[in-house]
Amino acid sequence: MSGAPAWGDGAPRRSICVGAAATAGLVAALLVAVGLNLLLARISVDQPLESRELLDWGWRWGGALAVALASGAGLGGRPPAGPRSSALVAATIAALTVLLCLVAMGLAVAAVRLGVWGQGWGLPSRSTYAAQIAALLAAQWSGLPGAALGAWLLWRGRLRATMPPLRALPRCRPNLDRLTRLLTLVIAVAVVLNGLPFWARRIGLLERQAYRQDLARFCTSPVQPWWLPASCRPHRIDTTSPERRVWRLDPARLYQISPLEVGLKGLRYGVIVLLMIASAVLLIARWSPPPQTLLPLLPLIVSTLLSATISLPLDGIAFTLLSGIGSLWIPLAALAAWLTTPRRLQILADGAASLVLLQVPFLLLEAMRGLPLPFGGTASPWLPTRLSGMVNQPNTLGGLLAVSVAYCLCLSQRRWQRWPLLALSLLIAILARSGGGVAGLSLLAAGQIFKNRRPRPGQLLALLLALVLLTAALPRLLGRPQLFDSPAGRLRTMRMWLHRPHTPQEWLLGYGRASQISQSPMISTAVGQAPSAPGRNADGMPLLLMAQGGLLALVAFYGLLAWCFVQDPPLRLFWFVLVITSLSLRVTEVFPFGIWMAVAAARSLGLPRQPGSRLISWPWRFPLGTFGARFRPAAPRD
Amino acid sequence: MAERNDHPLARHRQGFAGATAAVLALSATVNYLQPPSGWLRRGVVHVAPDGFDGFLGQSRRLAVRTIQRATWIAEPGETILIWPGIYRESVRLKRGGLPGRPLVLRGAVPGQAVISGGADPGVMRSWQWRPVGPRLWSTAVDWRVPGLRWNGIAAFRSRSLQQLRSLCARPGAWPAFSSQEHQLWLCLPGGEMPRPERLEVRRPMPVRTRSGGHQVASLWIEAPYVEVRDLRFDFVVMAAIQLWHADHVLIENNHFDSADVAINDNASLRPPQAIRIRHNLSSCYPLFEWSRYGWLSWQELYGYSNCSLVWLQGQDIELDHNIILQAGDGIKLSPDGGSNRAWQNLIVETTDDAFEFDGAARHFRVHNNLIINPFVAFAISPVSTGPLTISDNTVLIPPRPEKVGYGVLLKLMNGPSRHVTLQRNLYLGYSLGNGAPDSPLTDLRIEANGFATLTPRNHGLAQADQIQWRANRYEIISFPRWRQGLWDGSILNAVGGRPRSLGPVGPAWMDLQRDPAAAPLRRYRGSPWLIGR
Repeated sequence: MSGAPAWGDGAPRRSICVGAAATAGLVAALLVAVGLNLLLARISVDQPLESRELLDWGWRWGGALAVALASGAGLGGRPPAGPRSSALVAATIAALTVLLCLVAMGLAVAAVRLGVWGQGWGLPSRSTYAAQIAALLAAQWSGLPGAALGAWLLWRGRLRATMPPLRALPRCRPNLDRLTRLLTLVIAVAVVLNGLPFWARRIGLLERQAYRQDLARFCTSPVQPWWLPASCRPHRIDTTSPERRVWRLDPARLYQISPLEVGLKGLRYGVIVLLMIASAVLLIARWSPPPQTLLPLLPLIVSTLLSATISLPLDGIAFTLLSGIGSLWIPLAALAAWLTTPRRLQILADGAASLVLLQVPFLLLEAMRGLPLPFGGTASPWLPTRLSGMVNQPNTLGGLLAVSVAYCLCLSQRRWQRWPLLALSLLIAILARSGGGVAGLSLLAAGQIFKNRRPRPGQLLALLLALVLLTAALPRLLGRPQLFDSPAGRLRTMRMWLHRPHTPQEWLLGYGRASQISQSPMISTAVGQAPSAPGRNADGMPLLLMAQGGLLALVAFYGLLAWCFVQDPPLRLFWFVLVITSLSLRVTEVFPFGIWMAVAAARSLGLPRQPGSRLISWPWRFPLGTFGARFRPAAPRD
Repeated sequence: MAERNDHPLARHRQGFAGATAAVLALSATVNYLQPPSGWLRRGVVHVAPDGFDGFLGQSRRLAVRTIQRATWIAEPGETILIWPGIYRESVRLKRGGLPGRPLVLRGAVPGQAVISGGADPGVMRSWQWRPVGPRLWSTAVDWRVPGLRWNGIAAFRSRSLQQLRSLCARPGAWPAFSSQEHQLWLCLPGGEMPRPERLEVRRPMPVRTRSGGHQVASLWIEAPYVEVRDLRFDFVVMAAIQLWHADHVLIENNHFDSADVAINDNASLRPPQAIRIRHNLSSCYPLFEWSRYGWLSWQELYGYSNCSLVWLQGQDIELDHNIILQAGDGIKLSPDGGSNRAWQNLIVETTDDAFEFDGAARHFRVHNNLIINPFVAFAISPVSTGPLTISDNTVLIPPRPEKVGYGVLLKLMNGPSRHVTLQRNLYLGYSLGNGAPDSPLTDLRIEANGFATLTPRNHGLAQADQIQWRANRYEIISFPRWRQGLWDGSILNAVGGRPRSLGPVGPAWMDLQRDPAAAPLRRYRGSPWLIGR
């Protein structure tokens, strides 16, 4: 040991030192509060002292002093300050505070006696009242500087300390590759269980009687040799009735959720929670590296907490917690760095590809036996009724295909997970007649073509032309003449939202977590309607974010995505498709998008900083940098 | 060592600890500074007995537990909504509102949020009572008990054990007690045994301050632009509301029970300004009952308690539509500036003055009040500045036991008074007033009033010659007619009297027919003078 620490007690265990410092801070603050209380109660003759005020100050100051002293005693790589040092510093700070209060009291009395203060008071004894006010003010204003001084004193005493040897890493390591495989399996099971009840109802495995009645009512020929394309309509006009009544398929029957099904659907969130716990354990046990920085996540965390805070009184704890399931990916992004090794990313990409493949048998059965869904208007003579697979909504299926394929294209090394998977997905998207899915996959195809080379001007022109033609032909291709009503409807909802009167606070912070989610069937079934849920369902992330968290959430979410886009070039295609999909889908609530987003973000958070990411992250770098946060370059990861 | 510091795991660990410390430091700083939290609420801070002070009071479910906490976090323009329950606390309000954005303290269900001066009932469970005489009990206590209730009715606070024994032996005795440090004696004339569930005691009272004022209050207001509505201040230790450094305060629809002074500004930092006190009810039952049939004499009651609705100076003060039941001095008000009024108040049964003026009483109008059975209706003792105008009031004083003494309309004592006018008042009582020759009068005019008394005009008024009498109507009545005067409107009709409506007085939420707080008022139900509510 060269050079003993100034407050030196050797180097005991860090946790003991930190705890002792915090305790010393808390005890010192409370002693000062009680002492001041006794002193002021004794001198106060006109206004009885409100002892709770001083004791409340004591607790608040105690908290600040405890954190400051604990940080000063234990942070950093040097040996911690011992309990005796902490006690000495806490006593010093306490004595200084009391001294400051006494000086302030003396000055106040002098001011009254000199006639510069308190001359208009209708009190028999102005001096004691002035002394009381001065002592309270001095105590309150000296609290934070005192805490900072204490932290500095302890820190300074440790400057010349030496570093104790690190403990050897434990030899036993869990097999994280195997854990990743298990995770992909669980994800697949959760996806299937999530959509199973709806799918089973739609093809008549559940509620067979009602299925047969619907089939007879809405399909001209109940049993089709191939699939149920042209012969089924989601509505039928009864020409025999004089009023020409219109019968409509009741989607509520298909989408109804029993408590058991709530449990099945909830499994997916259980998977995320378990993954979070496992990741936290791995991080604490040091089997997983922490992220290089959490700053890009910070605005989103703050925004989420704020909107939850706003929600809590309005909608209750159950609704607020359940509405928070769409935000589980945020903490997971901070914890899931262990999944970002190339091998584990490959396993996850395999899982994403398997999800696409897994849809195929379900989709075939659905195409042959499925009741017509009332989304998307008319049937096509050559396509089946719209398909949704295991994700309940055709549009969600399209989004799942696009994002899954993008994930595989970015992270997988396997050839079959590129063009073959893309082609298969495009076929499924066309069968599902998902405009968003087809568009997203087409963009992916274009991105894949020009992944490693810059397009020449002619190629770029051809690409643009192809996209325009595809866009024009899409309604006819998918048999949905009113295809563009779907984005137009979303825009209309957004416009309605923008024209609603909002206060500045609602613009900035939104209406809370429960707003705009009232039509989420699972939450409504579990806890009923949100008391404060205003307006219609948000069908895309921008409106959802604006409603729940205001402009802050919008900027935080897309800011993070933009930061990741710049930070991690190999994953740009994934982030790009995710942004496109998010315009028409609440991507954070679609399983397993949250896990994929978290892993992709964790990868970005763990990479060395890219020059462009500094530009994007300046809004939070600047204020935090002002308070002393350091942005060091990241070391390469093993 | 450098290698150790550069080890990736050491760096990760430090980074994690640093981030944790940063988050904790931020939280502690925010907690210390207590930044404004109004933006997290919709203008209401909820307070409920089952709340938690760590919350921000955004809703009933996230209510704070104490009103004090709510006053710390509430911002101008917000309402502190107090849900039903008993709040045993003394609240100090240091942050008020702004012009047009007052801070409002309001009962969520009017009249069901109680700010009590009572001690926690749990403290009485450990008391060991033992008999120390006929109907007299004693127990050891932890503090000098300043107040006590038996079966919900305040017991008389006796000065000593000797006096308590004497009072307890008198016929028609009421529950009484006496307390010293660590000892409490209780007289239960009904012969019952003390039971904790029937007892309530006041919290310990701080040592009286050098200034001698009522420096203990259930709600201590040292902030501007405050409104206090729909609350009950029960079993108040000294003052219910202390205006320490307050202006633009509205106190409306509240019930004050057993307060020494319900609204007080004695020995405050600065005299209050723009104070409006309306539709409140203040009661000190059974203060008057103790003397009604002669159990206590007037002398025994005189120094007992002020039991007033207000003791105020200040400027621009208005009192209207209040009910004061069984008070010592009902209203003690001597404004020193601005424009001031006390109107349409109902004052019933005072052991001392219904209105007492003992200061400047500058630009003060007292009109259209109904005063029933006071010991003195208007105590001008003295008015140093004026002008004080007392007009259109009705004062009815029925006979009392001789031991207690007959009431009067005017008291002119304690120094010279000036610029006082009594106009168009109606008075029924024994005599017009009491006056001492050492209290000269300047510009005191008594004009166009109607008096029905047993005695001649100048009876008891030593300064009768200094008064400017003009156009008054007198009638000397007999004792039986005096006794009937409260119920027979024709007696005052003879001097020009007509019953006047007070309008709705008292808290709007209170059912005066059923609420126990208004019980003393029911005795006068049927009187032609008590019209309105």
